[in-house]
Amino acid sequence: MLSVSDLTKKFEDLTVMEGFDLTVRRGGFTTLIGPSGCGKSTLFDILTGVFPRDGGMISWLGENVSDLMGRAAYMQQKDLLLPWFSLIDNAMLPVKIAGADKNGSLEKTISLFERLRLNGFEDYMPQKVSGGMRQRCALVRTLMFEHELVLLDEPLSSLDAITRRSLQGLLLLLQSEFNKTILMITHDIEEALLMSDELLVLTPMPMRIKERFVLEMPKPGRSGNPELLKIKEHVLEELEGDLDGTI
Amino acid sequence: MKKKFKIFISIVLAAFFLLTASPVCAAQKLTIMLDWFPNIDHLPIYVAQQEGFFGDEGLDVTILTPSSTTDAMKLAASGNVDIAVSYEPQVIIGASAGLNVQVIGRLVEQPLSVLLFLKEKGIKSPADLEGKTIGYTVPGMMDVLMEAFAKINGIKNYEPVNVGFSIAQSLVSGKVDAIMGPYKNYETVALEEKGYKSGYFELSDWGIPDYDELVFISGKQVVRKRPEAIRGFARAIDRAIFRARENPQRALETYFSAVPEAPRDMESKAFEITLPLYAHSQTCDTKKWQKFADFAFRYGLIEKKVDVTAILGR
Amino acid sequence: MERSNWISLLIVLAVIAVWEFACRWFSVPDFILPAPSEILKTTVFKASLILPHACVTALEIIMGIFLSLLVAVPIATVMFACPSVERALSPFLVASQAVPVFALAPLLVIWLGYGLASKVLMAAVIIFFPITVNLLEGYKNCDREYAVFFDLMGAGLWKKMRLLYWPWALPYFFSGLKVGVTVATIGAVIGEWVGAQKGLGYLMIQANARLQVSLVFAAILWLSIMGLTMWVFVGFLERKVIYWK
Repeated sequence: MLSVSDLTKKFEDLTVMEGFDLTVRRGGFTTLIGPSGCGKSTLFDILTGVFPRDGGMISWLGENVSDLMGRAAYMQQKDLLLPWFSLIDNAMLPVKIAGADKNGSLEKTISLFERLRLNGFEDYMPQKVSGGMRQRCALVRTLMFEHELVLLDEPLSSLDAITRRSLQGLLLLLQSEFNKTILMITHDIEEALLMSDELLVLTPMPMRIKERFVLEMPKPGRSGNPELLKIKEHVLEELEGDLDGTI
Repeated sequence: MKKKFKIFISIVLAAFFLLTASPVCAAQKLTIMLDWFPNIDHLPIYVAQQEGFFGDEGLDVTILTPSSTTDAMKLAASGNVDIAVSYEPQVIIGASAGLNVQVIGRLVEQPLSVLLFLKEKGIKSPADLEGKTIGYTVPGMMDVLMEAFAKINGIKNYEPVNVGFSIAQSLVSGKVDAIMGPYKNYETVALEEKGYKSGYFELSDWGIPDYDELVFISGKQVVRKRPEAIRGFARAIDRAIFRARENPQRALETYFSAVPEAPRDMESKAFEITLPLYAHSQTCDTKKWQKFADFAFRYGLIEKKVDVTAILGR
Repeated sequence: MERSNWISLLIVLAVIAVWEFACRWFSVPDFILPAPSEILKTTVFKASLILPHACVTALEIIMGIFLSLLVAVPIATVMFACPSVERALSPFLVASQAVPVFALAPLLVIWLGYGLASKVLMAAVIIFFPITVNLLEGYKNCDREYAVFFDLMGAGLWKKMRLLYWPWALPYFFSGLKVGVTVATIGAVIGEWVGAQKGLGYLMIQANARLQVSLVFAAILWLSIMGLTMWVFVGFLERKVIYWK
């Protein structure tokens, strides 16, 4: 599992977080939700090694690491597909860079393309397909990483509601199928509730975990669940309260 | 036995010296930089090349064209070319400035340079040039000659302009009122062809002493290292001039075949004027040269006195 | 043909017509400003004289471009990969552009002679700056997010250069190359003006001195056509290489 302890990050006189702790259960789906600008993206930047931390430790599977660079798969709001590669070449990029077995990976990629209804578009260039298809391709690429840990930074927020719904379902399916440990940031409370095993509500800066919800209802099949609706109300109140506090 | 052996050795040695002393089978390479774009004044050089006179002297000569009017002497002095075409006044001025060159042959033994102007400008005497704009073709020579001309003839103010190769254009466009440096056998003809009547002042009429217009020069170090090649060159030129006088038509054809860009009609006309002016011998007149050198010193064209025997290699 | 092309053509024809008319009306001497009809005659009838010179100049330009690319691409790449190298080389790069190229020409002729070498080097020097600077700019313009993403995939510098930075920089590179190709012509001609025995620049000086000014213009016309052809070719190459645009 992923464990973050006593994490501290300051920018000049701004304390983004101090003594921040976080545990992600192996094989689980953990979501972070919080008001805008609370520092969750900074957390990801620190985890991936883009920014150095001022204090604290990160450990993955019991081993202390400086950051997760080269240890985790990463998917963002922007698909970051390279315009000079076809969809399939883009999806295979992690394999190409790691220099791993090409042929086995090619089969896996093609079957994933089929699962995500991208079959027939393998040789298309990213500019020629829709945003939803690009994000699906990015999802395949994320799964082509060999790593168990997957970091998702608002991966579906640039998509329309319908496409979002279908990809949420696929994400869940693939998580269970490929045994990934997922840590996700999102703005969308419903999305968080539909997909997570554990939901962590964050405070504005300095960022702490305000509340932790363990969700054991079976997924899929969560929409309309009354208990979840209550949690949703609760979380909304928390977030709005924080919003008032920060204005 | 001893006597026969001595004779045998003598023959071997003689043969050895004979072989090494005479010109070797492989031709010696020479580069010559012209003073101007190839024109009818250079005809003897091209005749010598095309008729094989250089080859007869064991020489393989490459003729180079300058990109500016000052290239030739500079490159000869620095040794970048073996031979250059130059002018007596330019050589004297250069020698005074310390350039290490030597005259190795002659091409045209009379002055050709004149002070040229368009007839329509109404210039009748040097006094009419007072306050005018006067161009010159070769910096370091023609501007200096112009100074001498002005001093001798009482011209106090004039505006000198470097026109390089652009003689006709500068005159016709009115950029200059007159130019020092065009040749009486060439530019006059060229302008006439284009429908312009020109007038000129002959330098010798107006106080400038007689001089060799076109000569061949070489850097002193080249002369020292390759005396035979240099002498062979001069001999070939002499032959070519003689041949041109013998059979002018053929010489002219030979020239045009070597220089196809030359304007035929104009240069054929210029040839008639030029033919008698080619040098009759490759040896320079020391007295004539010293007279010019002294004149140059007297009128402040050169700062240091020049002893021409050093330049003429005699 | 599109409408804008028609308009360009019309403008060119109008200029030529006015030029021709003015030359005839004012009886301009042909060695001051030749009429377009004269120039056209010379271009066609003297083609066999012009062609060998044009080939020499074309060769100088092409060799100059290759030489420049050979030096500029590695230098720009190293400057991008090592910021300390960039800091060290930047002043020289700017200086190479500030130094007027025609001041360099006589020196090159003295050092390298009247042959091809000095012209090739002139052309190479003159385009070194646009190519290097554009390529470097192209590399730097890559969005940080992509670079981070590549780091996350564990990509080393070489993979990043090959798969990310180089393709990203290609449009910038080609725009520098297009500029370079037209400017290289200038370098070669200036080199020839200062010291040559062949080439269109050399022909121009000789022709001007011989009062064959229509030949000068014919040489200029050939130079323009050469420049245009190279521009078009680079554009074609650009479309082929940057296939994803």
